[in-house]
Amino acid sequence: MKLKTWFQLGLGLIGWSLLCAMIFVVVGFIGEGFELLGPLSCLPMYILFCAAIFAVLMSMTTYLSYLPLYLSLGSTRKETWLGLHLMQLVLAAGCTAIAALLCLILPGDPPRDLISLLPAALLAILAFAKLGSAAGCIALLFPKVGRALSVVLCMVFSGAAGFVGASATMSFPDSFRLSLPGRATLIVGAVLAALLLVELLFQRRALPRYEVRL
Amino acid sequence: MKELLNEEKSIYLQICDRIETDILRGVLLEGERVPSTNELARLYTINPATAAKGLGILVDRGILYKKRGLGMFVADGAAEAIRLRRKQEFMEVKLRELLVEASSLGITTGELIAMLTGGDEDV
Amino acid sequence: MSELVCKGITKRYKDKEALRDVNLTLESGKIYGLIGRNGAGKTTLLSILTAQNPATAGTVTLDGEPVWENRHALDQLCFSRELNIAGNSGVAGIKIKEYLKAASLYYPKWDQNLADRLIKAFKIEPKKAMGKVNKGMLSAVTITVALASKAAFTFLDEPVAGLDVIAREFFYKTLVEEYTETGRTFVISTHIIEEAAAVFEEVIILKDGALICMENTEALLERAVRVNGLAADVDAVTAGLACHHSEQIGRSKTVTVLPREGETLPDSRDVTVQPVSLQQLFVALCGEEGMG
Repeated sequence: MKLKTWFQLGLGLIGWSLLCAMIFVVVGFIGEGFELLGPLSCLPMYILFCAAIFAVLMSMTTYLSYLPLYLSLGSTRKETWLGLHLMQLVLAAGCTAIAALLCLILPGDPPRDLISLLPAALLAILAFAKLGSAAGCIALLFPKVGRALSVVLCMVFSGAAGFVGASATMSFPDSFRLSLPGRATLIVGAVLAALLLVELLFQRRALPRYEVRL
Repeated sequence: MKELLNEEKSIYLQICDRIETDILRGVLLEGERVPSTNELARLYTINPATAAKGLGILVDRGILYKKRGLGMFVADGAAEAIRLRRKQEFMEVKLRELLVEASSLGITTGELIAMLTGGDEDV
Repeated sequence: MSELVCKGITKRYKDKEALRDVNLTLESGKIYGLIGRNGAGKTTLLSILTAQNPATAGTVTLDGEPVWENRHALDQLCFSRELNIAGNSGVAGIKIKEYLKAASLYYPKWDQNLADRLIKAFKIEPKKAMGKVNKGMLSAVTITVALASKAAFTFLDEPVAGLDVIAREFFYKTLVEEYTETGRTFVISTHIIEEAAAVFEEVIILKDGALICMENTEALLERAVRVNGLAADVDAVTAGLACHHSEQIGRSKTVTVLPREGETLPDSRDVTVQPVSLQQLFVALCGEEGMG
């Protein structure tokens, strides 16, 4: 079983997520009149958000680029689909763990509020990864639809990036905050399960018949 | 030694010819090791099996002999043997071709003899 | 001694049959040439032999083990694809460096020194994306992956397609060097036969998805001849033999004859009999009427 490349891809994505999150912090730092504490306390959330973006984009790219690439280099199909799940898991788990660690050491309210949301965040990143997978599967089966889909996804996420940047200073009412973790975990978990099912179906039905072309 | 091989003749026969010519010219001396199958393959960019076939023919002709683990060597009297064989080939093949061509062109034996003994300065 | 055996391989796409009942056995320690016109099914065959694409019917086994989804078997195979990368291909954005890195992780016997040597010799620019370099460089990448993989059975798809004649000669020289050092098995698909013929121990000829010939190159070329002369004389001499690609100009007729094993061309002084090169034989066997 050769999953090392996938593990490395996952680690690379954690690196990119951290880097992007830092950029958010720097932007916040400049935007808020060179006050570091506010933006810094949002770092865990930025990390989770970036992880979600990379999970979508990379999962989609994987189906279009890395799948044919690795198959052409003598990978088995089983290795590629296990590898893909592994990469997504490494990214989601790694970023959530780092975020958790930061929540514990960083001062301020936002980090502490986030801790209870971390399980939901982990599932959310995975759900986004599976969303990317689903888009990738569609793109593989119907190239034209896939290209349109990737444009839409990019637009949605650049919008979301702006929203997260802006929401850093937003505060939620207490009642919402308290009921959120349980509900969020449940909903996100359900979405994740549905998307996972779609992907597994693809991997079982379409992957064995997939033709490698470079 | 590197010359280009052509496509008119089997490659292994060309390898035989090359080595024989090298022996006649004194490029390879009797008792000396000749290039190995792999060396020939690399030299001419050919398949080693083809080179081996060429060397095998020379072994069969008694031009080369094998020393286990050391390679192929030029046999004593190889140059003389090559000369003899080529002479025979000249008589049996090339001369015969010449005679066939001459007869198809209507050149008589007398004319041929005259050409051969006429002391034609150009030849 | 390993053996890669393919039995009854058939490949059907929606609208056409790419391979039809192909049976062949590749023995270890040989260089095979796979020749055929564009679209004859060379790439399809190679990708099925290496379990990269599924066959519609038939089996491929390495020493008795099916190669499909078999890590142990795949570790001994390398199919270095022809990189024909269109701008919209998913692989176009991947850097050469990244491709080579992935190759080094997937091939267990990868030889980085050899890879570095070839990168230098071919002047490959590893930092460029695969969609952004010319065909010659992509051919060089195909060759680098194949040779550095050190796989027991190595398949190269059109490795010289984008190379000029000097790079082609360098490739075949390097190939023979690697082969004499390691005795690996190579299968090289090409339609540029000239410099390749002398390197192939055996040739496999595909025509319209069918295997029409698999034989020792020397033996094949020893049998094949071109016969030219007065049409009636040529017909008399070649009667009953397998004739290909006949051309007639006035009274003169030329045919390429490939006698079956045991058959010989009768001696005749009326016709001219010439040896043929692999390229000429290929043209005779695979050329189509109206294109000669």
